[in-house]
Amino acid sequence: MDIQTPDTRTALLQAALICFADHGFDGTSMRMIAERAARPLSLLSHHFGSKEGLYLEVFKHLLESSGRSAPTGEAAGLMVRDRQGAIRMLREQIHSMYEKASPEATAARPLRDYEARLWVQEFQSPRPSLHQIFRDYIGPTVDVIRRCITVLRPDLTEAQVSFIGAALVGQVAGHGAMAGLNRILWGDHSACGGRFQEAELLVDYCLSGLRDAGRAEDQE
Amino acid sequence: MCPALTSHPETRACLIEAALTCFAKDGYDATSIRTISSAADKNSSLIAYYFKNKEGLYREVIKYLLDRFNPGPLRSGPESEPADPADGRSRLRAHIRRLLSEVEAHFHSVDPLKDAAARLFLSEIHAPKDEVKDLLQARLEPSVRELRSCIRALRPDLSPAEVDFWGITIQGSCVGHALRSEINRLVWTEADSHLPLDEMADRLTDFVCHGLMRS
Repeated sequence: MDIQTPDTRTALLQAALICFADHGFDGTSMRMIAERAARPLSLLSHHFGSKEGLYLEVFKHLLESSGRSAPTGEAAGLMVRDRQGAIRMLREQIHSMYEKASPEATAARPLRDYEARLWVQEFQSPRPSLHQIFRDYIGPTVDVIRRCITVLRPDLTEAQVSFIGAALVGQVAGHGAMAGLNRILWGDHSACGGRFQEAELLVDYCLSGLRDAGRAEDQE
Repeated sequence: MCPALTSHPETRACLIEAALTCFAKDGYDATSIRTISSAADKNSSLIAYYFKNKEGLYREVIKYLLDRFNPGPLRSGPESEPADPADGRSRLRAHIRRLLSEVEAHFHSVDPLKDAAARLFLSEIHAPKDEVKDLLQARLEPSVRELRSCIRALRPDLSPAEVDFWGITIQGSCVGHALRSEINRLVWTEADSHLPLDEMADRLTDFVCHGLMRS
């Protein structure tokens, strides 16, 4: 059997992804998805219940297959006890974010255009039923980064930590997430060495940005 | 009514706004001239008259958005390169503040078209369409130029590729925020309030400058 042939559940999820991306949540019907997957409608309801349930599963699948896993993140957060731990963990997070957002990593996903279009639909005002999923899958990474920043910069308020944290994620992931626009705006060069070196540059940049931004005694 | 004789600005604006909503809702490919004309409650021949075709209309939509959510001329500072690192830093702060406020204008305004606009912007940021590449470039080129000069002033030793790498990094820290603003709110800042614009600009400038000077 060809390994490319997805199992039924995956086939249904992929069909749903395509329909939701093309027609939005409201414009998509369960029948449409079943037809697209060439599977009986009853099978679809059996696996996922309602359209709402299926939509959630599509997003879970998206988040899981892009390598976001809740449990490791949570465990990792607990390990960040001191500055050295925070630096180690932040380096790990930056490398992993930079890698995941890289154009190569997204190019490897055959349905990436549909995924991107579906994301765009939920980026601005995610429907309430998705909130918990975002918290479950993105939250742990955010908590780890928040924890690292708090350990490195105990003087910052929660709001400041959140702002710096979100900026940090943006500057690392923005390289990949905005690659299309960046190519137009900044040109198409082979940047600063390999992906690994670039991620290392970002690690140094972020650590310096965090370490020095405050009082003089923070310096080492 | 005879569209060939008189041009009605309201009709034109009405078609653009309807198109904006349709493109944002269904995506470029799935939107037809017919959908737009019926959403605007106008005859579809008017679209051909004002915009020639769907591409022409899409270009006008993007132009309209770039104007509507533009908080003023991009560069108020001097055209020259920053004189020294200190000047570079203060220009960088002004520019970061400017990017943050522009992003706020796009994503946090109370404009009724803001959701649709944000959706279209997001898809253009992700995968810009050939039809509008030149518009985006013309609009954002001054920002790229300013970021490059500020970085060069702070770090004259960097190669052009390195300057661009850090430029993209800084741009990402300002824009990345808004890209996922709603999701960020869920996972980052639900409990706490937004920082004031000036404080955000100060914090980020500190971060960027210290980061740049060390790397």
